[in-house]
Parts: sequence; structure tokens; C-alpha cells
Amino acid sequence: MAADLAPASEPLLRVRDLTTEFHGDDASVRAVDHVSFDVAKGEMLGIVGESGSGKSATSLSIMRLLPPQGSVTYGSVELAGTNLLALPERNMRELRGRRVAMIFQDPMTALNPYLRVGEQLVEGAVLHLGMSAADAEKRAAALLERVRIPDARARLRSYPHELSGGMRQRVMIAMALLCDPELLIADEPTTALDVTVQAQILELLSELRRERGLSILLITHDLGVVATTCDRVLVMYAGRVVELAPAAELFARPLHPYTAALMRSLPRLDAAPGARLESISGMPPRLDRGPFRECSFAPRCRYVHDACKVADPPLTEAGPGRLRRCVLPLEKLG
Amino acid sequence: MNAPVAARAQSPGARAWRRLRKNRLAGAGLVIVALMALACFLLPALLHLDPTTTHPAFRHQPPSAAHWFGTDGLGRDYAARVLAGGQTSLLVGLVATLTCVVIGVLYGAVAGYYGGRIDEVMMRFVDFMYGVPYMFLVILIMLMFSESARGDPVPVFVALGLVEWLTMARVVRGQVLSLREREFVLAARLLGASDFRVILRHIVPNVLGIVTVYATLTVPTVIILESFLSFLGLGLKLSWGQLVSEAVGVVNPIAVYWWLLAFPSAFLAVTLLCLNYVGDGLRDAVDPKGR
Repeated sequence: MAADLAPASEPLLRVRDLTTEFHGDDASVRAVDHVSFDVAKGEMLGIVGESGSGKSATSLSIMRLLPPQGSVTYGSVELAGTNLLALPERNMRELRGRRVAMIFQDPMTALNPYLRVGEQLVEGAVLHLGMSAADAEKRAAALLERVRIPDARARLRSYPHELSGGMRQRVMIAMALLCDPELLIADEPTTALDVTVQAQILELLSELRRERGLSILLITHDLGVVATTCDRVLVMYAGRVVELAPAAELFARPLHPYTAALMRSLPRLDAAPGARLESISGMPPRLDRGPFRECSFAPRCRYVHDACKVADPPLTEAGPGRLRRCVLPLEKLG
Repeated sequence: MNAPVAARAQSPGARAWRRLRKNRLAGAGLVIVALMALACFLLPALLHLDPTTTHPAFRHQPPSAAHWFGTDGLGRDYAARVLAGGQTSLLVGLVATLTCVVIGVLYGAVAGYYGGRIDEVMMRFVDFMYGVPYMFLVILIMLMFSESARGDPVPVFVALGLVEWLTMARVVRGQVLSLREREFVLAARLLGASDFRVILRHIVPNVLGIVTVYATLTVPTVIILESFLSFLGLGLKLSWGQLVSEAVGVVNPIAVYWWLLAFPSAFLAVTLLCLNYVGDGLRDAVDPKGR
């Protein structure tokens, strides 16, 4: 199976059977369930899923910054051969921001309101590269210009409340890239932004990827975002991988009913006027009831049949570079 | 996109200061407290007032041109004594408050940031300390200093600071509990900042606003506490509280030395009132939504 997951070259990030659980007072929730994937150098991998499908828990597990009630119970995360899950906290701290950086959804709250933009921006460079504040500031200003913030030098003196949402997200990106990381995890980087700014930010991420050979793990619930920017897409449902495919192929022909249903629920320009937008009926399954005894998507699946109820289907190969977790014969999918 | 950057970037602190200045009551309070402090610290030197020289011939003189606030039972100039007493009262308020800010902020920030069992243990200790009668604590601390230090400012500073930090720790811990969930804290950790660095650089500056408010309200509390200690004979050699306590002992229905009681009481009351107004004003300025 591993061979099928791996892209051509040796992957930068190799996640195997990652399992993360959150422990409540009387039940545990398996938020991430044996998730495996690779991110090659310079690749942009998209992780798509609805709220609660384990996307963010996956990224926080990789960074080892889960909240106290959460823990990785199984699996491995390797960055260029180093198992991050076994690394002492000290080394992990040196690695965060230096080799793996992360940006998130809400740029409004991700900047400390009491510090000037410049002060926060240089923090990483001072911490990791041992730069003097002045050098770090030069570097920060250059990066701000690179992410197209006008009047970068003056902006370093601004407070976060003086910047718009798009600007703050650019600042966050500059902050993440300051130490030249190999991997950037972008957790819903455009969700809080309006559509035009969204497009600019995505364009910027693509450019930076080409320029720096940066690998990007793009986490989103927005299929449109994935379609335009990612090389490969991982679809998650109920904490598990349900489909993995190159982006173009996934959109041309989804091989899992869930992916297909997601795509049907997107508004389309060529839809007949007055046509109703489809939605997926039902709710995602509860994750605190132990292992699945049937396909996790079965209660909501329009193709559900007897084979789905027997056991939880395994992740199987479905064409070159494609994986899916479904027992429905390919030709029966719409 | 190319709009010029606003001429002066305003820090959250600067914005709070601007709002504070618009609040008349707090502004007036601040001015009066400042004047009071200036008077206490500068006037004695400027007017060559001496709070210690006795004049047996001029005992219990009512206020006059020579002695604005009259004289006390030993013929000492009462204006000089009230001002000198103000020096120590204000100093006690300031130093004890600073002690309590330093201890309270660090303690509260650590408890709130780590949460869980650490928080549980640290805050239960605070609860325990709350349960111990503070007078008992203060007296105990004062007794730990040698007999000769009695009436010295240092034991009083320490004792009051050690009692007053509890509330500060609780306030800070509550704030930090919500702050640590904010994304900039996660962002800092994602950049590889250590816990120590996150607390000092990202958490503490964010609680300083509310800390300033509580510190301002702690100053009058401490001054009152010190006065109370003086009243019991455990306080400083010369402070507003001590003057009042002395006056109460002297005033009787036959000889009403009203000035002995009136002046230090008035100074004490005005200072406390103004400090409370400043504190309230600060609270509104730091958190305009919380009115």
C-alpha cells in the first residue's frame, strides 16, 4: 500500500497510520483514524473534509501541539526521515517555525494585539536563526514586500488592528516563511477572507511554492480552493481517508460516493435555472462509539447496499495513484 | 491598497490612555492624586517643614498662619506631619502594590497557562491563603522581622504585598485561561517559542491592562490596610493612619483638637476616593465594552 501512496521522489513528509484520540470524561473520540499520506518536496497536497472530519487534528498532531486532552495513540510522522512523534520536546521546538510552519484560518486572532507587526514577525528569525533584531527586520521587510504588502517598512511599525484581514493573512504567511521552512501547513488559510482576497492569497501560496520548492499541506473544506491549487487531494470523512487522487482526476471522476456527493453540493454555473442545490442528508457519524462495524458513510450514502453493512471497507487501490475506501463497483458510481 | 500608513500607530495602551483622558472624573482623580503626591514629597523641603522638632510652648495650637494645620500634643507642626505621613502612606501603597503585581501576575499567568493539575494545586493554595485571616498573616510576617525593625517600612511592604497578591493572581489567572486559547498563542508556539517566552512576551502584555486597573484599586486598599495596622500599633512610625489613630486617642469632649483628626482623615479620604475613580476610569478605558 505504501508504494501506491508515495509520489515519484522520496517524500518530505510521511504520515503513517496516524491515530489521534481526544479523551473526554467518559468517552474517547477518535478524531484521526489511521491516516496515511505523503507530501513530496514542492508538492501541494490538499486535505478536504467537513467540520469534525479530523483535518485540523491531523495538522496539530503533526506539529505536536494538540490540546492537553488529545493525544496521538498510534502511527508515525516522519519529516525527511525523522520521526517527529519520538522527538524530545526541545528538538521539536527547534523544528517548529524553522522546518515546519503553520498558518491558520482566522488572521484576526492569530496576531498578538499588543505587539507591533514587526516585533512578532522577527520572533522566529531571532529564535531560530540567531539573527540580530536589525537583520531580522530587514529580512522581514523584504518578505512583506514579497507577499505584496505595500510600504512594508512602515507596516512593521503597525499594530495588527490597523491591518485588514487579507493583510494580516499576508503577515502570517510572511511570518511562517521567515525561517525558510520546508513544509507549510495551511489550515483553512482563506476561510475567513472574502473571495477576491482568497484568490490572491492562494495565488501567492502557489507562487511561493514554485519559488522556494516549498511543500504545502493545504487543509480546507472548500473544494474550489483545492481544485485550483493542489496537486493531489486527500478526502477525509469521520477521521479517516476515504479518497486520495490527483486533483484533476478527482474532479473529473470522484471514486467515492462521499466525494461525489460533495461535488454535487457545489453551486454550478451551468446548472439549470431554478434547480435545487443538492445537500448530503443526515449527520456525520459519532466518533465515540468505538470502531466502525459498517462503512462510516453508509447511513448517508445513496449507493448503499448489503456489502456496505458487513464490515468497514478497507482503503484500496482504484487506479494509478488513486485510493478509495468503498466497496461499490466503479462502474456503478454515477 | 497604497493608502499611506496612519501617521502614528496607536498601541492598545495608547488608545486606553486616550479614553482615560476623556473621562472627567478619572482625569480629575488622577490630577488630584498627582498633586497630593507632589505636595507630600516636595512641600516639606520647599517650606522647610520639620515633622519631628518639638515646641513645648506651642502644644495643641489650632490652625494659624504660622502652623496651617496647627500643632500636635508635643508642639510639632501638624502640616509637616500630615505631609510626611502622606509620603509613607503613598509609598506603602505603591511598593506593596508593585510587590503584589509582580507576584500575582507571574503566579496567575503560570497557573492559567499550564492549567490542569498545576493550576489546580496553585489555585487551591491561593484559596487556602484566602481562608487564613489576613491580620493573623500580617502580624506573623511582621513578627518574623526583628524587634528593632518595628515601624520600619520594609516589613510592612512585604506583609501587605504578600497578603494582597492573592486577588491579583486570581484575576490574572482568569484572563490567561481565555488568552491561552487565542490563536496568537498557538501561533507563537508554532514558531517554536518556549512556554517561558510565550508567557512573558505574549500573555503578560495582554493582561497588563486589567492588571493596571486592579493595581490602581489595590493602592487604596493597601493604604487603608496600613492605616488599620497603624491603628493597631503595628504599622509605620508616621503615616496617615498612624496620625488618625493618635488623634483619636487625644480627642475628648473637653478639649476638641479637631484639626488632629480632620486633616489626616481628609487627606486619606480624598486620596482613596480619587484613586478609586482613577481605577474605575481605567477599567472603562481598558475595556470599553465591559461597562
